[in-house]
Amino acid sequence: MSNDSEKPFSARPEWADVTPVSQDDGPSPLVPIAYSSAYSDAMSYFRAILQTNEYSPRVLDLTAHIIRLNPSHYSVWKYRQDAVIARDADLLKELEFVEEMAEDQPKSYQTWHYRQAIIRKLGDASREVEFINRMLHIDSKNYHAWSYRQWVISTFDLWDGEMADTNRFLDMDVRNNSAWNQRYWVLKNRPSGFTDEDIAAEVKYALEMIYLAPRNESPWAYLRGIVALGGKTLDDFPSVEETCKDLSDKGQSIPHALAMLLDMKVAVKDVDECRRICAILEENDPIRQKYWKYRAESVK
Amino acid sequence: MLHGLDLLDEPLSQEVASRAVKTLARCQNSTGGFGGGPGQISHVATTYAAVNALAIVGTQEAYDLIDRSALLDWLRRLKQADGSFLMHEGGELDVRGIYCVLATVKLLNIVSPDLAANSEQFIACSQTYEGGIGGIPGVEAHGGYTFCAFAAMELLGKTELLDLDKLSRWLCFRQLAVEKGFQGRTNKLVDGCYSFWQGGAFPLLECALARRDGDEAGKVDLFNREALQEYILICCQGERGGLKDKPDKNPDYYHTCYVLSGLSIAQHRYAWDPVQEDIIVADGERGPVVVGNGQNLLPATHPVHNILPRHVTRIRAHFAQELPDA
Repeated sequence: MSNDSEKPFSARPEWADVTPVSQDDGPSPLVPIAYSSAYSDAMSYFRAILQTNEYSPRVLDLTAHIIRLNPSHYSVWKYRQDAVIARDADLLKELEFVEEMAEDQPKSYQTWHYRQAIIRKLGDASREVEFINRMLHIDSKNYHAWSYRQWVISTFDLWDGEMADTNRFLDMDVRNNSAWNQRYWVLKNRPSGFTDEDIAAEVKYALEMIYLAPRNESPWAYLRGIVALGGKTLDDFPSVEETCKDLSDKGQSIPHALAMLLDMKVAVKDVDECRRICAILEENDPIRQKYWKYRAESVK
Repeated sequence: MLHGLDLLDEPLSQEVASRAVKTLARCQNSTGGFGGGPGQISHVATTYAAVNALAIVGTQEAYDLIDRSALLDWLRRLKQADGSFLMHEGGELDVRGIYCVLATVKLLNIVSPDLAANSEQFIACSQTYEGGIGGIPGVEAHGGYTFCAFAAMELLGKTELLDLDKLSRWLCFRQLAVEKGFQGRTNKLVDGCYSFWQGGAFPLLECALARRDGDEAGKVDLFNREALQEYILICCQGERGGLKDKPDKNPDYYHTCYVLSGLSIAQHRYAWDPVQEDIIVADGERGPVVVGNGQNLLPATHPVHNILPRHVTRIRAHFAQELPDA
């Protein structure tokens, strides 16, 4: 069949028994889509087999063909999903198909959802982290990839090594906010939980990363997050205040450092200090002037 | 496109209105809901778009088209125990679903407790340590999902379940100092469409904060409107028309709609009206904020539904008279 893959379906002998069904847009559709003839041809055969609910190998061929032309065609992906499961088709081949489609269009919701459905049926996620790593190599912040990664890890209990993996991503790009988010997620959700020592180690790690690139927002947010996760406050960690002071003095005035000092002064209700810091922030971070004014007025 | 035309004050002819209805009719399924095109299975995002489009058309023909009873049955099939919705039968699940469903049923007066069950829990759990909201619990805070989640919470009347202080900080930090537009996530690039997804969250936020803190309606004003308008006007206009993500990209209908919507949001003020129990346009004595030529002023959009407020009022009034069939 593969050497016929350029022939329209209307010319393929294995489809001769099927009458194609053309799309009914109505008499004068608004903004009709100018489909290519290849697409219309394939879709006309899809509409035909929809009427009989056919789940045969030629239908797998047809749906793959359409998906390659339109990787976001959710109705066709859904139909294929039903067909593959009903036929007990070769799921490993489906994984290869998904990977081909994911490389072509890494941000298609349908591709990632389909992979999840196949893996659920297969019950074996041993290839998945490597697959996700390949996709993250193409785009280290692919939202679908990270979301799918969380599903794979939590469903198949693949927690070991994930913290180390986030290290790898952060070594490559300390500004990869998806990797920071993943780190928080692991700490919060892994069955082994976390200890006070773990939290202290994360604080140390965050502060080290902050020094690498002080204007990088990610580790500052992470720091706030893990301190709260650990049931602590920022001033439970003297190194936090030290770092903030360091980065807000010496003519550096890093807004994130000032903002963290502000949070600490809000916590102890030091109204004057808060207003003083907000005034500096209004100057140093002028795009957010209104926000800093609001923060100043909100301190009671 | 219809919303884009509305924002540009382009009147809709009767002929185009009628063709729109007939085109959308081909997308409705007898089992309920609308798909992306004829023969496609129903999808909550395309249903949201179709109902919004029909609300914009606003004729009897448009309203009569919608099979509300079948729609309700279909939505019930998509509802999940955790409060979320699948985007289509056998489809993916994330916070967009909750927004698309709740916004749709609000316009059509088929709000029912079973549809809203647990949705506020799902959304609250999707707020991350950063303060923004992700697609599902655990995933990274993201502008598109944040808007959907926050608008859904507004529809549910549960904005107090979110940490509004954390959300405020995250939202305000998504406006970039150099580009002046919004990014979708921390350390990612600016994109004109976030002018609406992120910018559009501010009216909701400001009203939620006013309700929480008992402040005067319209007192809180948090983002840099002028800067956002500059990004849009200077960087997002296509040379041959249409609006886009950023310079060096091509315009498309999605960006045209959302960049224009973001421009409108940046120009107008809103306030929570406790009498109407709704967010209303409240430009106040100072009037709208317009960067550049006065002709740049766009009509105000509804910050939850993102169609003009009069279309929201009209369709809701129409279906308020009609009880759902079951």
